[in-house]
Amino acid sequence: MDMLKLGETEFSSRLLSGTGKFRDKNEIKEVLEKSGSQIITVALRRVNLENPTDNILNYIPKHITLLPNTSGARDAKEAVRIARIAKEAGCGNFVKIEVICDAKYLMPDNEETLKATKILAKEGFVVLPYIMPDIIICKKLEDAGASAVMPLGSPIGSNAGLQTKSLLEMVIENSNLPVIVDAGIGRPSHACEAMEMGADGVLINTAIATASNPAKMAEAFSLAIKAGRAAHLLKLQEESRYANASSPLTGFLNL
Amino acid sequence: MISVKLNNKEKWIREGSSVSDLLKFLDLKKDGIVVEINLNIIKKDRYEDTVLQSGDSIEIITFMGGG
Repeated sequence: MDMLKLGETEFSSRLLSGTGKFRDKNEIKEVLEKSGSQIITVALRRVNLENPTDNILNYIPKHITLLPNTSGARDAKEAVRIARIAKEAGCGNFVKIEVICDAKYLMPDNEETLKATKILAKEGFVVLPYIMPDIIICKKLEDAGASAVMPLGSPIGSNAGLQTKSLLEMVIENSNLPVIVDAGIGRPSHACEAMEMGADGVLINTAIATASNPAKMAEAFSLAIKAGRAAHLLKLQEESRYANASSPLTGFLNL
Repeated sequence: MISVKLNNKEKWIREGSSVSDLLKFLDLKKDGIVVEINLNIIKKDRYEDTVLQSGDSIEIITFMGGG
């Protein structure tokens, strides 16, 4: 069986989901069922004391692995604080490190992300850092004890696909850690492309959560990811500038 | 009464209140939340005997949707 190993845990699904932006949180369960996704991200925020809302965890089946993110963190110190809070809340030991101080493009701060990874990996977290695709930072994250790297395809929520394609290819070629393409994947074809390129998984939130039918879109993404993975494992054929006939070039019925 | 900072807003509470008292007053269940006092996480089994002090900065955190 072709499994994705993160830390000590193996997953048969290579689609990681998110819980943000759903019109109706009740849709999350069906999204997970239809996509087969086994990992889902959640965020931590202050309780709104004037209007406490439902805890998102109430909408996630118990067998799903929670991946709390550190969104809202602007530096390593804040990311570490959020990760520890998530662990205390009984969320397990997975964490997606997300350190962002750029509001326009939501670009991750690779340097602070590395600092947080060093601390949290030592504390026993399974650290999945959200990064700008860069082979140098990937090597440093590996040395720091990260369990995967999560380079971005394009800005969060942009649906713009793999705008960082050539950088992603370098990361995939050189990384010893699983590579999960995170952010910007707007269509199943983007996800399929990432998997064909050799990514180990993709994380999709916006494109599923904001679809007119999130469960059906989740299923479409799941199929695309499986197709891309299968093609990658079979090694794709080389491209050529010229045609190479698929029908025989003899025995034409010319008059 | 003593003044504390609750989720970054000033709040007056009865002197001698514990974390449990505060959660009861706010009508919050302890499952699915985390309480921090002055950036220290308070373990759930310490909610009863952790008494809030004047000037404490208390954060009550929960899970929301996110990607």
